[in-house]
Amino acid sequence: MRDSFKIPDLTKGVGLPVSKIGGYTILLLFFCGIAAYITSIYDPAFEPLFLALIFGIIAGNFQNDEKMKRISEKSLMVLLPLGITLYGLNINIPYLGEFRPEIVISTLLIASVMFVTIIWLSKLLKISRHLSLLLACGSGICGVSAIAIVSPLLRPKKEEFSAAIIIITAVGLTGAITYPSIGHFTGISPDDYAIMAGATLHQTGLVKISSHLVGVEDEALAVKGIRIAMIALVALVLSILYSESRLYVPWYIVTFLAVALFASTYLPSQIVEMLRPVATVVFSMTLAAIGYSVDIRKVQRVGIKPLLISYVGWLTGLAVFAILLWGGVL
Amino acid sequence: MRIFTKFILILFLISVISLILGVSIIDVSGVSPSYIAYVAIVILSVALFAAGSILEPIEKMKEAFEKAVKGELETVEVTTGDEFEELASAFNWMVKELRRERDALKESEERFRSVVEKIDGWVFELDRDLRIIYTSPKVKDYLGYNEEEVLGRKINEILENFPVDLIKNNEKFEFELVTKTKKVHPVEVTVSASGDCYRCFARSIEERKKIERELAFFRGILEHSIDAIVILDIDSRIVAWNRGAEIMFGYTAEEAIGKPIAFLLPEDQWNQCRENFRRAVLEGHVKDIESVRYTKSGDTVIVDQTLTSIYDSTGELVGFVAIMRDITRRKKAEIELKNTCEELERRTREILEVQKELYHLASIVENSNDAIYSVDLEGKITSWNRTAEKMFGWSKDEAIGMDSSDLLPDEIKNETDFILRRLRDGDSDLRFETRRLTKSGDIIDVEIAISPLLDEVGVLRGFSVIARDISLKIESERDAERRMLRYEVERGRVYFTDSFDVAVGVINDLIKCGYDGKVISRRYPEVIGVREDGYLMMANRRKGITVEPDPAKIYREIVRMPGWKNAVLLDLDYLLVKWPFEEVYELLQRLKDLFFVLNKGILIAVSESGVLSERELKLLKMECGVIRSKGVDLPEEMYELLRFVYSKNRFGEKPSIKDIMSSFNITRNTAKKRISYLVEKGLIKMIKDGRMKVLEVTEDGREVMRAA
Repeated sequence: MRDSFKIPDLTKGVGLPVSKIGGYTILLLFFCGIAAYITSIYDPAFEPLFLALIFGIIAGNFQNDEKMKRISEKSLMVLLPLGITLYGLNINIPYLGEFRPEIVISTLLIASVMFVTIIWLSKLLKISRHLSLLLACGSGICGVSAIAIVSPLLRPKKEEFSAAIIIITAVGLTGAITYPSIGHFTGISPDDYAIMAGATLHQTGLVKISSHLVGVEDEALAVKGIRIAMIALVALVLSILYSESRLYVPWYIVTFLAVALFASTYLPSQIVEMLRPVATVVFSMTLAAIGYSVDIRKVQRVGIKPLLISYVGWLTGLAVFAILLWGGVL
Repeated sequence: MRIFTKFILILFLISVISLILGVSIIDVSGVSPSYIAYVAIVILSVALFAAGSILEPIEKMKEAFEKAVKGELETVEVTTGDEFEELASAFNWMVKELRRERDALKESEERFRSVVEKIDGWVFELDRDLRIIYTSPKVKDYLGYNEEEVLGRKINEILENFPVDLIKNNEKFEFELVTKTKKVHPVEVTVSASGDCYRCFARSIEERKKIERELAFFRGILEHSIDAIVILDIDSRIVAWNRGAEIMFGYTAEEAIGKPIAFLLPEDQWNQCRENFRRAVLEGHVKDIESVRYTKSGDTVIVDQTLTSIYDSTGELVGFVAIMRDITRRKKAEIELKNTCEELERRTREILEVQKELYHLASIVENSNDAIYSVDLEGKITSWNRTAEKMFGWSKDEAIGMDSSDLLPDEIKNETDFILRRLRDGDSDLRFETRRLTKSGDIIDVEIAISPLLDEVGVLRGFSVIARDISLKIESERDAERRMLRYEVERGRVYFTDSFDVAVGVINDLIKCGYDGKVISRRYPEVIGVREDGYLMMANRRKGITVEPDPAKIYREIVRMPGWKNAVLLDLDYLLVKWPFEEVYELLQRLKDLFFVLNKGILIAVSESGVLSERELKLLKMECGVIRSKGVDLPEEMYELLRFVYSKNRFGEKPSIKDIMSSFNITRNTAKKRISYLVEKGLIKMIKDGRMKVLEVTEDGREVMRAA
């Protein structure tokens, strides 16, 4: 079984599983994706990608069918680039002119500090480079989706990928749970709360639920949009850094960026809204396929350190926000 | 339940209790179920990684242990700073020890592998299905296959008839490996079961087999040798006793083994035996010891013994081997051979002497004064000496192959047939006087001695003739006889007289002159006045001194008379009574021929009965000679005495008075009277010869005898 996954070159053709068990596997992954998506509709805090991964892990570890695991791995050849490309529909590149410059700068600073802190701590505690980058991307940009998008570029181990998703989700949920209390006890303004949630929370869904209680959901999501937009830049940079030849960007990153740009600008919002579930389901299926083939015991063996680093990174970002807030920048 | 699950459950339980307590403090109604789910996810995630963090060193240890069990000795890096790190440190120490032991084991294994690979034998392992799971490189030498060719294959696929049952029974057995090139390789296979495999060690026993065959060969030689082969220890005690020794000495191996070799030897040879052992030790072996040994039955045998020292591989003396051959018969044969050789030498010397003698005789024959020649049964001359050449005139080359009758005058041409007939009748000493014809045509008188020539089986093959020219002797004898005899008779003649007195006088006169007298008559000897020793009576009854009055038988009797000085008186009266005159006349004719041819002497035929007619008397007198007496003026007895002395003097003898007495059977006085008479007449004289007085005829006496 492969320890890492690689996006295949689709120009060379793809051998689709056509057997009965292959169909069953695809169907299973589809159900995982659908279930995750439906759950995320019920509660945005439940990130569909995370849920799909968990469902995949549960299904894979219960069934423990090597043949189906091989099929799920093979399905990644199609699902991963397709999911990444379609996930561009979920990226809404904001118009930075709408924001005050200090908000944009603060958001970028907080994200960068979180990114750097995690990278630095990971190096300090001898965490693998791939896992640290995944955690940094997940913490600093847009959580699970960022991890899923950059993972083909970094080619991490599946357990590291899965652990990163779980860790980022756990840390994000911690923030989502505690932010209302923090807002309540500190007495910060709703606008500042929106900036805090948008700039420090990991996933869009978590920003949504944490800001929903305060009533600044749109503002928080707008700030979050700034971080989400960073995925394009980071993906571009990482693809260049980790490409085998200089100035090479994988085609699915290009298509991802193109779809994101196209969806944010020219594509009618109705069509985008209509296609987003499809994109989410397909990407969820991708995560389910990854989770299906991963061993939970290997996932848990990454240890507590990445979790602690992620917490520290998040808290650092929160501390930077506090400094900026109390320093009068915001 | 696994510890991971336990950790999860424990942490979850603590978290749930904390959550319940927290919720209870805040306000349960203000918390949505989603939040509880959020907390649960967070707690589960934290618990997951907390448990993972705690279990990580355990997992690492587990993996390390699993790898260690698989043989991959790797250290574990645990930096938790807790008991797990201490455990990992202990594990790492264990790993280092195991590595050291493994290295030592590996080194030992390498050493043993080197031993296995270089050991003179094929080591291989079989699994329970008898498949080869390991083989040493020697398989190439033993089977001709490479290691890769045999690994994984069943032993029976490579070696047909391999005794798998013996393998399974862990037995040690011998087997003949057939190599790839069909070469047979005898091996001894030692099997030891080890776990699920059979470890086999095949060792070549080709050399051992060869040694065994050689041992069997030598054992066979030892056991079946007719020589006694006895192996002795260094104390000269018998340790091996072969079949040949049993036969030779009569002791069985059980009886002989353990006894000193000296028990076979006479006591007087013990010192020599000790000396032989000493020489065998110093020189390695002693050969050709001829010695006497006692057998169980007490007999002695003579043996030819070789004593050889036996050394072990370190060169230390461990014993002796004595090989004894019974040469008793050979010794006897040698003695016999020696005697035979001596006999042969003696006979050779005799033969050489005989040969020398033969050469000498041949030389004598060749240079003899007598003519010697031989004649075969066909009458051909086969040998001819030098004297014969001189005597008869023919050279040797001319005479060889010539008919012997060519030597005979016409009147005796049938002499050869006569001789052969006599020889066939058994007469082996035939001597007579005869005549021979020379090459120049002269006839000479010869005295011949005939000897038969027999081959190796005694069959007559011819006869030899020794002929002496006696012409002069015959002539002188005839002269002497003429002077000595009172009657004018001549040898080789047949005479007839009608007076018995004359006939008897002639016979007696001839007897006195050395003739053998024979009288064949019907009259008694005293009647006719002859001695009985030469008398044959004509009678039909056979007795020693009788002859049948048959002309043929009388002829045969006369023919058989030996010599040629026979004086035969044949009384014709009884014959004429029994036979007609013609038969008697023919007898006389044949006898005349006989006496003339063989010169056998003188035959006097006499008849005074008057049965003959005038014509018959005339015929007889014509056929035979007539006897005439000489006129001498001396008394009869005096004349006889003079003739006696004269005849003796002719041969150089001078008779004494005693000779006269014995010869004439007269007394001394009578002899002296007669001698005195002749001395007084001046016919003889007495002379002294030492102490004896002998008689010699005077010149006057010789004149008297010549005149007579």
